[in-house]
Amino acid sequence: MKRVIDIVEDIKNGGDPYKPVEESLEKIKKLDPKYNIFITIIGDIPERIEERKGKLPGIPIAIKDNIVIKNIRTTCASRVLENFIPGYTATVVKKIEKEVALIIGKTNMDEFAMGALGTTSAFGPTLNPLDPRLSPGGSSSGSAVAVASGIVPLALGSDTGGSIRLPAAWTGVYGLKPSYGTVSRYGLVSYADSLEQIGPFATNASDLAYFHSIITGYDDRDPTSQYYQTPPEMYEKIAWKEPDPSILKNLKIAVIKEFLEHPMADENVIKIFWINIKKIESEGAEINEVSEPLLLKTPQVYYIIAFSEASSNLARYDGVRYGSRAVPIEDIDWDTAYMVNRSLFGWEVKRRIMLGSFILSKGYYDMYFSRALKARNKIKKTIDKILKENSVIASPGTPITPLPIEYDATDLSKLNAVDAPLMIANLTGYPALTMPFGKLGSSKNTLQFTGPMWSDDFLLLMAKALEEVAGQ
Amino acid sequence: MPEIRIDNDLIEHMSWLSRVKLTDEEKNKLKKEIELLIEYINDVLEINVESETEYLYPSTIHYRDDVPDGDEEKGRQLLSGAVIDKGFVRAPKVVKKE
Repeated sequence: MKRVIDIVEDIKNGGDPYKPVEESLEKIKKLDPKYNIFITIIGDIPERIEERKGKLPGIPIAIKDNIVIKNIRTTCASRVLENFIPGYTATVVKKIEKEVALIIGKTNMDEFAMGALGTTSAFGPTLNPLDPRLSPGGSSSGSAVAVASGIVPLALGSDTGGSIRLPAAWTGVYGLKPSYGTVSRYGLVSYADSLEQIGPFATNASDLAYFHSIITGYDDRDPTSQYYQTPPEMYEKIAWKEPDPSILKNLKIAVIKEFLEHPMADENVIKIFWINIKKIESEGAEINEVSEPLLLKTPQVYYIIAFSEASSNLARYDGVRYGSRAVPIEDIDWDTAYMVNRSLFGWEVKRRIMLGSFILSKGYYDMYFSRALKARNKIKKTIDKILKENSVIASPGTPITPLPIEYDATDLSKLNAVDAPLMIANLTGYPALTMPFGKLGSSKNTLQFTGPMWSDDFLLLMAKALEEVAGQ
Repeated sequence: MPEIRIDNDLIEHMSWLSRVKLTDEEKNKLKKEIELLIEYINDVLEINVESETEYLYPSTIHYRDDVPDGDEEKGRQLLSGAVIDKGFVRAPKVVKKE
């Protein structure tokens, strides 16, 4: 696929600004019925497109359906918000629209971003274009598939526990979970606000950097937004910069043994990972194997915190303040109204908010929630110790191949292998990037790099260098 | 490790705490799944956190002042699903019917 930065150059030099959108809409007609990618298709062409101005003139972009756009239905893939029309637009969308891009549609996802397989949507599962019998990964399933199937070159997802990086790995595209507080969460429907971050999908490192330069930046409307920011221009420069494999020389890469030796990890995927890591080592990088058994408990700590935050964030969907009504509320009492209306949630959401409410209740708060917050601190210190001696932590994009679409998500054994390497970035707030290596469009040849806070620019530079080394 | 008894009472309690009505079939399903989930998160109880403090947010939280923007449309849209009666939003009854 042609890079976005090159398409933009072509359009600015007089190329047809309608071509990318027309091609995208054609592909939607053909592929959406096959893979169930979009919940809402928009496709309104901005009038300013003719002027060929902005950084993304006429570029079609897909947006996960938990990011609001004024007057466009936002469902979070839930029956609870089936007909919700927001009255405002998310900051990230405003930034994209300012660059004269075209928001082509709102993508399918796990309900309220709760799920790892893209199968909990009230609108049915999204299928993996690499093999429709397999899950594309979740929760940003539709955004990843929109990019992987070539419908759009760029998409937005949200990452609470790997929800950008897992589907990127399982569909063979690029995904970035930015440093916490660097992309505005204003207009993102919250699931677990201390963990989640909006981030980009793309088909190459240059476009990932370019798109990130547009969505990043401080936002007064997001209380978790950070004043300190790498200037967006820096990312734009990275997008245009020639790849420099010399940055790999003397780079120290940590590999966490427990993630690779997980009993559920796929032997073949791990074998390929080591081949790829040896290739990077041959460029002058130093590989350091470290052992930290505590990190295998990352998903358990994550579950307690995420479910508790979810129970609080989703309390507003009661059919009175927000959300659909299962029954007319005027003739019944508050409790009955809430309980009946909230029964519209899907099963995964129900069980998460029920366990979350329980964890936060009297007698269990200290036992679980307070302890998980302390364990989160301990995990952060462990990661800091590793990153003090190393530039990044490397792992396979995913240690197992995509699971079947009908996989039973209550079986946590395989999901523990998947979750642990991904969730360290969410518990610490650090950036992490997932990319194909050597073979595009393969779920086996992917790498994930987690860096220290604010190292998003370095991760993107590194991704460009690795593309060059792999001959992509 | 403290044992949590996963029985019908606990499931009813969870349903009430989160204000989510469950069918009998869902209650039985939840009982099995909660058992697995609690067993899983109990691993956290084995982590020694004696000298640790609670970690809250990976960033400094800042608040902005409420500034009226005169945009009445936003308010109307938020109430789009509500029943408006003589300028008031009709809500469920406070007193439960016996």
